[in-house]
Amino acid sequence: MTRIVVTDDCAGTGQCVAVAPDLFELDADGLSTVIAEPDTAERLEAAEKAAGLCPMAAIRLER
Amino acid sequence: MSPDRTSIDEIEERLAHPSFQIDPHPTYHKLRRQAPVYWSEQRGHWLVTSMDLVDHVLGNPADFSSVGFERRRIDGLPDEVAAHAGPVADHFAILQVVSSDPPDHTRIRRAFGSQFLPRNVAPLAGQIRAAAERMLDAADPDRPDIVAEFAEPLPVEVISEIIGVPEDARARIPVVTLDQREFFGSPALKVEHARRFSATLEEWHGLLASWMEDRSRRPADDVLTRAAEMVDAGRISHGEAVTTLLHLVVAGNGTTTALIGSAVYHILRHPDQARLLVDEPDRIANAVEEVLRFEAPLPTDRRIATRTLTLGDQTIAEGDLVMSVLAAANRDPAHFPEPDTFDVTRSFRESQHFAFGRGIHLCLGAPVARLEARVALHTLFDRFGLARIPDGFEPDWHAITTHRGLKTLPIEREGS
Repeated sequence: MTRIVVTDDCAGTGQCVAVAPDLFELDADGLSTVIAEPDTAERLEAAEKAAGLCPMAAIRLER
Repeated sequence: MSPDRTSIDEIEERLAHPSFQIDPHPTYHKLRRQAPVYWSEQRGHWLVTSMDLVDHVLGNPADFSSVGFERRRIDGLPDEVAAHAGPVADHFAILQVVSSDPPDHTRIRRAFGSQFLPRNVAPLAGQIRAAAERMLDAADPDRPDIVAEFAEPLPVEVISEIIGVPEDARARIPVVTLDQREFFGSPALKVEHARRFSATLEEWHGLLASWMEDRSRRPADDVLTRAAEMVDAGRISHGEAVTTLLHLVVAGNGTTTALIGSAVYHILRHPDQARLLVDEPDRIANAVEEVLRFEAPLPTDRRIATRTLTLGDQTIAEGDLVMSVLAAANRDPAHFPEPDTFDVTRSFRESQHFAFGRGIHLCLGAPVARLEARVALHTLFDRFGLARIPDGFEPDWHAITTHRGLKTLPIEREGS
């Protein structure tokens, strides 16, 4: 199963939350945290889109 | 579906008409309905006006590159103008965060990204508030010009503090900002524009290099220090540091001036909404998002197609210039009901509008711009309460399609 990892490069731009609000949210520091795993095809697609939009390339999908 | 010849002629006429500068949205709505991917012959580029297609363009940097736009502008200059644009060509030949693709973009963005973390920006609120109060105190007490006396000086001061620009150089910031806007936004560029922008760029390269050298010896809490460290660590080149710093200086002021001016204008134009914000200032943050959606300071974002591809129902050739119209995406009725209605109570999801762009090139300074606009409105309402726009005021917008902001905005105290 694919796992989402947000690396230390996160700068809290919120692009992941914008396209995948089921998978990401911003924590108290304004940084992205994963709140659900991409366990459906739809969520996996959203996770891939979030990874592609991240300005810091801080989202990695581990398969 | 492609528009027929009559329709194309009408669209081209509308794009060239002076009324387009006052309100482009009727034309953008027509485009979105009839040709959301539209080749403009007079502009020499594609216009993309639906939110889904803009999302696609900006979300696919491998197909739509950020490299080469400036080069093309310079290459397209008449010889007599190009002869004076050498330093401009040299400046834009160096990679910078806004005009690079991955992996270079990622490398440069990471070097500066942490400086603009929301939690690193939030502590600036007090300083911004103090500066805003000082500027309003110094403004004309009866009829201040919100643009000249408030929205222009405030962002210059804020970005200077963040970057580390010394006080005696701050007056040069609006100069380089205007020179750059003219160079890339004027339809007919003259020798004097090129000569002036060249001289200004040479001046700024010298200034930024000397300040970075200073920070290498005496580190401070600013972006210049960060840049010097990143160069020393070999993560970015000296040239990349200088060009990206200058980009941050330029991008960090004119856009925020436009945002604050548009915010005050649209809010005061709707006295019921102004009253709501005065009474319930917690709503100001949401109001700023609505202003960003309704009147994006940078209406367009440019890319170049890296291969021949299909977008919507159009074939775009390799090398074609593609303008994503952020201002049009933000008025797409498929995503925003009644898009032409300004409503500070409209509810937003995170980054739902595209005023700061979309994807990897999302505005680096967005947290600063948001904070500045919020603090500016809080301060203005605290000092002026419910102000109003004088009777008979006609908005005069900068006549450049790549920038949307008011030239002037007088306000009066309620009851005066």
